[in-house]
Amino acid sequence: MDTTIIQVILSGILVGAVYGLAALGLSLAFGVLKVLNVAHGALIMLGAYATFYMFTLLAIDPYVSMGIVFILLAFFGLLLYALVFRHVIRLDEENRIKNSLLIGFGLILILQTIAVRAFSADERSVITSYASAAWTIGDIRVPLIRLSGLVLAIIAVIILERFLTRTYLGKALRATSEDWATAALTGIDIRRVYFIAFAIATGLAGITGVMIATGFSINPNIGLSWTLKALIVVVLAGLGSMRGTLLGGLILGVAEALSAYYFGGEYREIVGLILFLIILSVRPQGLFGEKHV
Amino acid sequence: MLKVENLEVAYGQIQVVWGVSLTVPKDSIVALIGPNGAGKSTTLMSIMGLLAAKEGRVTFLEEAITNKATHEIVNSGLILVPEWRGTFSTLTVLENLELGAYPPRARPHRDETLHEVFEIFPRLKERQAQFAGTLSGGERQMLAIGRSLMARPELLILDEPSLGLAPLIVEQIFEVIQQISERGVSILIVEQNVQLTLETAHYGYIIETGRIVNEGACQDLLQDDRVQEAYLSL
Repeated sequence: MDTTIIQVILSGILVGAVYGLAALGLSLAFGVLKVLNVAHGALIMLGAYATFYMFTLLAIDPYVSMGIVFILLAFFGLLLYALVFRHVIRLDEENRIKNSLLIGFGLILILQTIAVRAFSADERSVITSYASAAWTIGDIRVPLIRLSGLVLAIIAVIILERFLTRTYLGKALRATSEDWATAALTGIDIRRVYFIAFAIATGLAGITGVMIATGFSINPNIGLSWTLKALIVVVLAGLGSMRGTLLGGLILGVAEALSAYYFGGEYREIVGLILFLIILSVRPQGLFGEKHV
Repeated sequence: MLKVENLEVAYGQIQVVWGVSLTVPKDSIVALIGPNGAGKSTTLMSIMGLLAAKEGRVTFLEEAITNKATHEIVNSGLILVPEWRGTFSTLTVLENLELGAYPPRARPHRDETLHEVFEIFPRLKERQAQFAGTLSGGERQMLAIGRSLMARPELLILDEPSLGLAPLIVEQIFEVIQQISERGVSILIVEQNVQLTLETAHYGYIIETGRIVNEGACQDLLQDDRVQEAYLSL
């Protein structure tokens, strides 16, 4: 294999890690609450701007502000849950998904407009002193900032899996996502579980925003396209497995990179949607998903 | 210990339960018998706070629990094993049981209760590492009952525990119910297997189209002409 192809695959993996990270939160919220929060990307956008302003105004390094962004977005998630999503939770599953879609699209419009007003529509990016640092192995170049995205995504998956399999609250989350009525009859306060799952999901959107602010560029309208990437990954990977979700992100990233390399950059966006259609028709539960979902 | 007074429950415009009253005294086994669609499960869902009561009162251990949050009712010692069994197929048998001890009242006693549950259901101990989704119907019912015991119930409600199980397994389940009762847990059992239920329980209520139409000591109900005709096909 010549080194160009290796470089293409590697770049794909590094971009894919951010797709995976974006999808983790969406998958968690959808799995537990049965709420499809299409505004997930808009929350990613907010996280990215929070990183940008903490860096430019307060000179806080993005890897330091990451914790703050997680907490900020988790709180914002709690607020959104208390104000809007709480009301759709009482509906049956079908109406819950439909109404959450409408609410999500409404939120995107609102958050986007506020972001344009507050932050202007200019393209921004966090450029740290180490922004262009890279490892070079022969002809292959590994940009460190993007590599940190992969490391971060893996750490996020490990922490989430430990939380979900080892703690009482994590097991309660899994139980609620499988069958909320039985979970309630087991003595689980499912409202609390919903609250916490949603906050973790929006916090993860914040972390994704940090990665996008440093490794990519941001503007107020990036929300919907990140939601779309995350959604493709969730469909590709299926619900119920965190590492599966990350792997799904990597697959999408590599598929996009390869298609851009062979057919030209304009086909990059189509690949994900083709994968989306194939998976939905051939294996609707996703590559790593549980059948009953 | 459980007292239901004039309970009325509706799904939207459609009322299903019309003024049901029943009592479960301490240390007793009480049966609620009736045909499909009579409102048995609906009554139970409402007692557990999963369906809002339109009218009426539910008291448990002298405390009003009408329309309280389900997890609070569970934590007061009133546990329901639902008709759909209620096991988490994506969790292992052991995780299912551990989750049963989720209520704060039960959590400190988890290991001790787990030991007791494994004594009652040795099969669950053998299968503890398996995912609950791989269990047979009978094993799943044992797991559902085992999980409910992990919450250390004062009163256990069983909704159709024999549904869809082979006769041999049904007998085992009823033996276990007897055992649980002997350990000082009061039981409310809803069943379609009327013969076996009336032989096991002390007192019974007959429910038809959302109303209690007959009640009495089980040996009397077993002799009752209408009960015999409708449920025992004698």
